Amino acid sequence: MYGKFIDNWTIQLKKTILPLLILNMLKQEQLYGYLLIVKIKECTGLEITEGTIYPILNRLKEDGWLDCKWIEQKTGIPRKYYTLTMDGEKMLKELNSNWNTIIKDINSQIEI
Amino acid sequence: MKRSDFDSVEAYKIYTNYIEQVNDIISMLPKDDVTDIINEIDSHIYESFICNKTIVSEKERIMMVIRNLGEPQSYLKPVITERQLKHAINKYNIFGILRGIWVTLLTGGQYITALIMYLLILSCGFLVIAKIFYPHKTGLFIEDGNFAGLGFLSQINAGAAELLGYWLIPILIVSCAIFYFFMTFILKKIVRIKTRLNLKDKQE
Repeated sequence: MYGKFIDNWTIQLKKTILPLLILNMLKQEQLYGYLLIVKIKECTGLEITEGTIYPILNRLKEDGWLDCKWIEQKTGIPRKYYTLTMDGEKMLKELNSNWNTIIKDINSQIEI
Repeated sequence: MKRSDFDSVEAYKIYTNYIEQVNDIISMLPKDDVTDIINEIDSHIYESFICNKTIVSEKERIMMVIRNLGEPQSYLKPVITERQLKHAINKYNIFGILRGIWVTLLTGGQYITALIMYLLILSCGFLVIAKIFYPHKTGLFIEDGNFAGLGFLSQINAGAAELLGYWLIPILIVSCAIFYFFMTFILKKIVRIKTRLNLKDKQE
């Protein structure tokens, strides 16, 4: 009865935290769009429409948190690699701190 | 991707149709942006196509790749809006800016103040035209030494007098131009470093 509600809620939650997830993944290494999607699926099991990722990357780039560069490949099809900027790293630190606070506050209520 | 990357003619056709569809949607953007977006989608399709070789049929594989990517209209809409606005600001194109802000308002509810300001600038343009055709009804009006109105007045009291005469036209044009470039300059800065400023403010 409540299975569908939980499924929808879980999907919505994961989508909401996608930018946070993307920024944290890019903090570890530079990634291109497709590999980022593969890693998100591996990490969260989240089956997102692959097109969802590009507006988010574009937004984060326009905001100055990400930078990108095209790297030529032997295949002839270049890859667009995304990296965190210095400002992005600072912002992410704050974002992670906020996230941890939220989780802590919610968990304290759940334990009750 | 090239024709040589496909064995199946059908798969190649599906791929080119999709790319053409993307091209049509983003054709109003500057050439550099079009190239960048097409290259990124092309790169994505290639990587996904290569990594899913367990699906033997190329036709089925390319269809799956495109299905996973989604309808270009839906995922490109926010990208187009942002890039259009950015381009219009860089070119000081008032109609482009208004269109960009309008779409942004519809999708995100931002820049409402900027929209009002630009509409105000456009209304000043209307006043210039009104001054030419209705000189006695348009201008800066005073009555008994007090401000009575600025703009186009359909009914003017007998005691009201217009102050500026035809000087209104150059005054409006110059002030609008200054205001317009100032506004666009500010908007340019806001769009580029809006969130960076927020971060710096917080850190300070």
